[in-house]
Amino acid sequence: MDLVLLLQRIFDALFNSAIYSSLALALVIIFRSTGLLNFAQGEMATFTAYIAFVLLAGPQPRLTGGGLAGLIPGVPFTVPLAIVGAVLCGMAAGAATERALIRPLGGASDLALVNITIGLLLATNSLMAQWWGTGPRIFPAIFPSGAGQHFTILGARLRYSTVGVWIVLLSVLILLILLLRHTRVGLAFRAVSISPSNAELVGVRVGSTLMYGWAMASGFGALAACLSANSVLLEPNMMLRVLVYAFAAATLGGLDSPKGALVGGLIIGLSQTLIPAYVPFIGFELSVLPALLAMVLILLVRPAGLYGTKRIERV
Amino acid sequence: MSAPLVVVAKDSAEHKRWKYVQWAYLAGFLILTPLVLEPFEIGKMNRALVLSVAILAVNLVVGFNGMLALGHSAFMGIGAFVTASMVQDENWDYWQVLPVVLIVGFIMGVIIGLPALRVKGLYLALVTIAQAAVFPTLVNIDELGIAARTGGPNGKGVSEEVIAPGFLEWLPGVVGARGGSAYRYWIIVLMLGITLLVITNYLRSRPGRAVLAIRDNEAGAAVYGVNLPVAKTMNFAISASLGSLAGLMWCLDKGFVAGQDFTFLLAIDLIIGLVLGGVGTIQGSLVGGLFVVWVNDLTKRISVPLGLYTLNGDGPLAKAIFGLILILFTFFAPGGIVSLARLVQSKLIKVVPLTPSGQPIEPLDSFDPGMESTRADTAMKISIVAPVLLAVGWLLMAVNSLIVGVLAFGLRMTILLAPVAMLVGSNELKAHAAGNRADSVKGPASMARLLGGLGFLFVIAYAVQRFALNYDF
Repeated sequence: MDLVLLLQRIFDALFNSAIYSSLALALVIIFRSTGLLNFAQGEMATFTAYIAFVLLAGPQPRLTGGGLAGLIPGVPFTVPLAIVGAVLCGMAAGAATERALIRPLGGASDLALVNITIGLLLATNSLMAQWWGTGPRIFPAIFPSGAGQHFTILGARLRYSTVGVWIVLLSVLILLILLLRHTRVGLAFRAVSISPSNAELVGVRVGSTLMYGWAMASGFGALAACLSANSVLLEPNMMLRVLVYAFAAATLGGLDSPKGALVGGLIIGLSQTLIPAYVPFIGFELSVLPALLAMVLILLVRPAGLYGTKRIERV
Repeated sequence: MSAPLVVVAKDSAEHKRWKYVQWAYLAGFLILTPLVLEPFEIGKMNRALVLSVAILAVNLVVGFNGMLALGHSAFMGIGAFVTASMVQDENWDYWQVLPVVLIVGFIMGVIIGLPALRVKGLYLALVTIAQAAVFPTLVNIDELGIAARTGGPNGKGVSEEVIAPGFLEWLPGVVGARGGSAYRYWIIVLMLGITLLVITNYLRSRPGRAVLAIRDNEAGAAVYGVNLPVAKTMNFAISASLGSLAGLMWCLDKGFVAGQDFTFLLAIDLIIGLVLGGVGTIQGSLVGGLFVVWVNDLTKRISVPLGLYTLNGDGPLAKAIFGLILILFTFFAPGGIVSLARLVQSKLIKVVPLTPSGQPIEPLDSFDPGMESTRADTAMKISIVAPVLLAVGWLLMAVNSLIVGVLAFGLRMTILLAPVAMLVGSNELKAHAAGNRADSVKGPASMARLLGGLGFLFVIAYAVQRFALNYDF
């Protein structure tokens, strides 16, 4: 086995892993607080990537006919600034979704909540296709990702963009942990995710705390979309495939564990690249298979995922 | 209109008459569909009925057993590919493939169900979504001759037509210009009918009731001796088997299967149909299939100019509308169309159950409004509204052919409400003759009877006219 090639493949997989981890983190934050899976997470994230694109490039002509995008005035933004703007927009959209669609349902059944987010997925996806067309757009790179721009470690190339994405992901994660551990909002959020009714009794505003949770999650999703938009080309279905992997990552790690999301993202990203490379039976076309199989197998052994808390039901 | 317009005792002569009316409507709908519609419209109906079977399969797990399984597109795909491969490559007849497909679906259901049902709630939703997401790529595997069997990315065409029992030739519409699709229509209706019969009886049987008990209270069901893993896995496998049957029907109907037909989007379509029709009701599955196809079709015709920009329904818009429908139904009609229809029905007719001795549990007289009856007025309003809708629809259609929906709606309202108005009108006149109503009732009641009767005649005439226009003898 060629060690350099193996190392190279691992380095390549790290980029995707970071993207899966951050989207999985978004899913986990929402699951922890609201107890639901946001199927629209990927689409909401893609939407914010489009917003960043519009902020950066100004009103672009639609690929098919003139669209509403032409109505949004473009402002000359630098790439990081546009991404910050997009993340803020994503946070606002997440908070609005919680307030308008999730909170009024109260303690509805799982199916109802799944329906709402699937409806949101369909609506967002097709609205994006309607406004910006289905053709792929080239999203500017955030980190230098030219031909020669990489570290060389033991003969394998580690791209600057991979390192950059991980730095961003880890620093945001540290920010999140600081927020959760050392602020009042974080305390309230932890209280609500442990027991909403008890938190309410001691005076925590459960509704608005959940709204912050959604905003935070959507911010993470937006970051994931903006960071990956350069490598996968911006188009309305961009995050749909990523979402499946992120689901697998979140499930694998345990739906209510942020650490699990990070580890799950790593496992899924690595298995997606390494297994097709070393198992001849599985072509790249099938790269989704090992990831999902890994998820199912781990669920069989540990139904709550690697780091998830076991649910105990009281009758 | 708070009290129901018609109150009948269960199993009385009048109740039976109402039941006959319902059956007559169903029979009329079934028979007129292949006679009156164009071949491509019959094709859409076929697609809707196939979707209904698939939605029923999802319903069996989601609606009746309370498990979130969202991946039935994969079972459909398995059924469709097994059928296509057996019929095209091995020259089997569809009817020979049928038991094979059912068994393969069942086994797949057990294989996926056993591990999947160990996980609960949203985890199960995730596993089944993974199953739906991975299926279209599985079809393309080159190993084991899978791609050769399934046609890989190009899909597989099936040139064989289904060979049906001889009596099918005698069914309406089969001989003539719309023969091909009408032929497949009757086969699909036959399969659907048998499926409905089997599933209804299954849900009434001991295992079926165990499944319902698990949905309502899992711990309670276990305490009463239900073997949870066995009951759940069996139900999941039966549902998977039914999904494969839908796949076979899909192949039979379209004559072409490709991995791209059985993606996660189809699974979402099934969920939409389920919610739209009504979760946990058998009628809901039927209605859901029809509405998914109908809404899809309707949005394709939308074309609204908005200044510089034209909103076209043939692009991605249908998905947005489905998303909106899904959200609106979850908020405002969680029981789906079936619950709305039941609401309307409860305003129109009330069936009073009987005591064991055969008497109505409440005397029918207690529902009689007596001298202050407003039933005649309501009936008159109904008898007027439906034709007015019809007329407005006709005028609007002359303005813009897009608004043909109003006409169709008016027609359906007339079909449904004219007999009601007629019957209520004549009931009220009878009550008046018996001295049970004020004299002021007489006018509206005879009006309702007259207009309702005319509406009914119009409906019959319309059916005959469509029949004569479209059917080549």
